[in-house]
Formats: sequence, structure tokens, C-alpha cells
Amino acid sequence: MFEGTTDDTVAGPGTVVGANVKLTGTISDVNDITVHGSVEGEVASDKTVIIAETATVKGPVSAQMVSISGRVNGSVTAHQKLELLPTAKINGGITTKELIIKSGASFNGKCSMSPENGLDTAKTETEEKTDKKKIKEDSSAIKDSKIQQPKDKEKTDQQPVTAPAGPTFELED
Amino acid sequence: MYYYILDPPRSREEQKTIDDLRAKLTNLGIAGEFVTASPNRSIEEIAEIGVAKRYTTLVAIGSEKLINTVGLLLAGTPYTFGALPLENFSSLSLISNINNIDEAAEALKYRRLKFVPVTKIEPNKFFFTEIFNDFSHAVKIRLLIDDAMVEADVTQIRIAGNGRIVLKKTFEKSAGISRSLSWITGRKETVSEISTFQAKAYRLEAPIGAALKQGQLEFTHIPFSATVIPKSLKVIVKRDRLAPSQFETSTGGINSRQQES
Repeated sequence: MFEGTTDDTVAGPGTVVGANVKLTGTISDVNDITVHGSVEGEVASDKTVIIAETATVKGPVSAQMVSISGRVNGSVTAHQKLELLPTAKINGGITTKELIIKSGASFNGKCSMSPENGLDTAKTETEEKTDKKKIKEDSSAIKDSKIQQPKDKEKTDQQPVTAPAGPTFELED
Repeated sequence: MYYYILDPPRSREEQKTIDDLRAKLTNLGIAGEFVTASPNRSIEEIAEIGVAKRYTTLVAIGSEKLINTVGLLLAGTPYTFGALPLENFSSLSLISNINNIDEAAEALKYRRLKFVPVTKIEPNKFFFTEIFNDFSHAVKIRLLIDDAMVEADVTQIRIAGNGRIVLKKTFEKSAGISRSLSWITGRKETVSEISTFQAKAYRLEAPIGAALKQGQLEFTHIPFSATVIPKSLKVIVKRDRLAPSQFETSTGGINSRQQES
């Protein structure tokens, strides 16, 4: 009866986790996510994540822009900007392009700031080595596929093509 | 030309509203054929007659039940659906951004179309407007949304046909001075905590046995599972304007705590 077509990614007001909510699992949204309550799991947005003062997040947080004034136990990845407000408490690594830490914020962990090109294009040394290795493997696989041919075809390719011997027929009108 | 399907009027005021509406639609140049549902002829039969007469747009005028029934008949078909509710505009505004009957009539004239999702509640119930319940006191709910489990104390649940779930907890401010003041003045100061989620599939598990209503009628009972089917129904919606509407600026947002008096 119902035949939906493609995915309906709705541009809307986003997700809000209220102060009285306990959420377990992964929460992801193409729009903004605001957390006032408790989350045990991943928080991922394509836009902005706001961790409010009353919020507690145990798990990774990732978005383009992240603003934290609550507690986070886990890594935080902000592709554009990360802001730690005075009541923020973070235990975990942070990765961002632009970092603002207000007086009073608490941060325990490693900090990685991306180069000018941005987090999306930057690769680590191991990732570059893996990519080069993969390119080599792909090119050798292509070469092998050209070399390897079925045995029958090898035989027919090696022999010159001649018309099969047999009776001849004349077409009648 | 539109094919209008109406509920039989329940009062003189409603009959007057319908008469005024017919005049308004005629003035806007979108008059068509008006057919009233009756015990002798079901809504489904009336809709089939409209389709047989080669009307490509069917408009439901009346209760939320009528609107849902006609809309669901057209879901998955190439026909266009319009709605002029005479009650509960909030559910219609979720899908079409229409907040009153004048806006609904104007939307029919300008005919801006949009594909909206329909939610299927297992095994065979469908809705595209809204189901909800208001509890007299805070109840503990357990909601599975896509990859997450949500537990909360709520006084209200609202679920829209597009998969938007709103949980609201309203309680009285109990801080010492404000409570004393409210006792003296007689005014209750309440606080609301609102959570909103967007789901493609969800399951509401608790509180067991509680009903969710559509309009005035019970629609389903907890527990139930639901799936959102995207782009199922072609609906006439309000056309965009240069300035953002009140609906767009008031939904969502950062502050989930609101003061109500």
C-alpha cells in the first residue's frame, strides 16, 4: 500500500534531551543536539552539539561545533570549534580546529588541534601508509587479472584460427 | 476543482462555520463538489466516488478522525490531499504549517505541495497527524528510538506522524520562597522540561496499558512498535513567506526549561 521512495531527511529543530531524561545508546541527528540530561553512549550531530550545565555524557561526542558546560567522560571531536564554558568538566581527549576554554573549565586529557586544511583532509602517518599499500595492492591485482586467463582461452589464443574442416553446403534459393 | 468531504455538523455553530467556509472557498475561486459523510455512505465510499469522478485533489473538512481517514486512503497514491480541520490545529500544523482555518483555505488556493511521511503502528494502524496522551501525574516511560533507549518521567507524550516525539514533564516549583509566595497569591508556578526526538522507528514500552489518543478517540495502547514511512502522502501545505512563521521560531531550541504560570 505504501511505497516510500528515498530517505526523508527532514531539516528540523533537532534533538533535545531534557533534564529528566536518561538515554542509553547512540543519539545522532543531522540537526543540532542539545543535552540537559544523562546520556550513556555516543552523541553525534552533523551540526552543533550543546552539553548543558545539568548534563552528563559518558561517551564520545562529535559535531561540527560543540559547546560544553556540563560533564563529559569521553572523547570530544569538534570539526570546526569547541567551546568549554566555566562549568565544563571533561575527562577525555579533544580534537578540534578551534578551541575556547573559559576560566573555570576543567579538562583532563589529550588535545589535538588540526592543521589549517581541517580535520577532514588531514591524515595520520599510519593512514597514509595504509593508503599507499592499498594502492599498490590494487594495481598488482589489476595486472594479475590481465595476465591470468582461463586455460581454454589460452589454448585457443595460442592456436591460429582456421575454418573447421567439414562438408560444404550450397544455399538454394 | 476540489472534492470536499465533510463530517456531518454536530451543532448549529459548526453548521454556520461550514457555511462560512464554503462561501470563503467560493470567493477564493476554489469551490468544488461538497459531499457530507453519513451512516448510509462511508467515508471510504465517498472518497472512491470522488476518485471515480476524476478529481485529483480530495479535501477533508471536519474532525481529526475524518482527516486521518481520508488522508490514509490517499497515502501511497498519486492523489493530492488537503485538510480543513474544525478542531485541533496543532496536529495539522506539524505537517502543513497551517494554524487556522483562514490559512488552510489560503493554502488550498495556492496549492503548494509536499510529500509527508506516514507512521505505521504494528500490525496495521497508520497515522500522519499526531497521537498523544496527557497524564494526570508524572509516569515513568521507556522508549526505544532507533539505537537508543530513553527513560524519563513525563506528564505528556506527543508523537507526530513524521516521527517527531515530544516528551514533557510539567511540575510545580517547590523551592521554599516561591512555594510560599504561590500559596499566598494563589498562583501556581509550574516548570516544564521538554525533550524532543526524531525517530525512523521506535517502540514505546511503558507505561503498559496506557492509551494514546488521536483527537478525542483512543488510537492505540502501550506497548507498541512504529515505523515511519517517508514521502507517503502528497499534502497541500502553507506556502513559504519571506518572514519566518511563528511556528518555525517557536519549535526546538536550546532552552528546554520553560516557565509557565
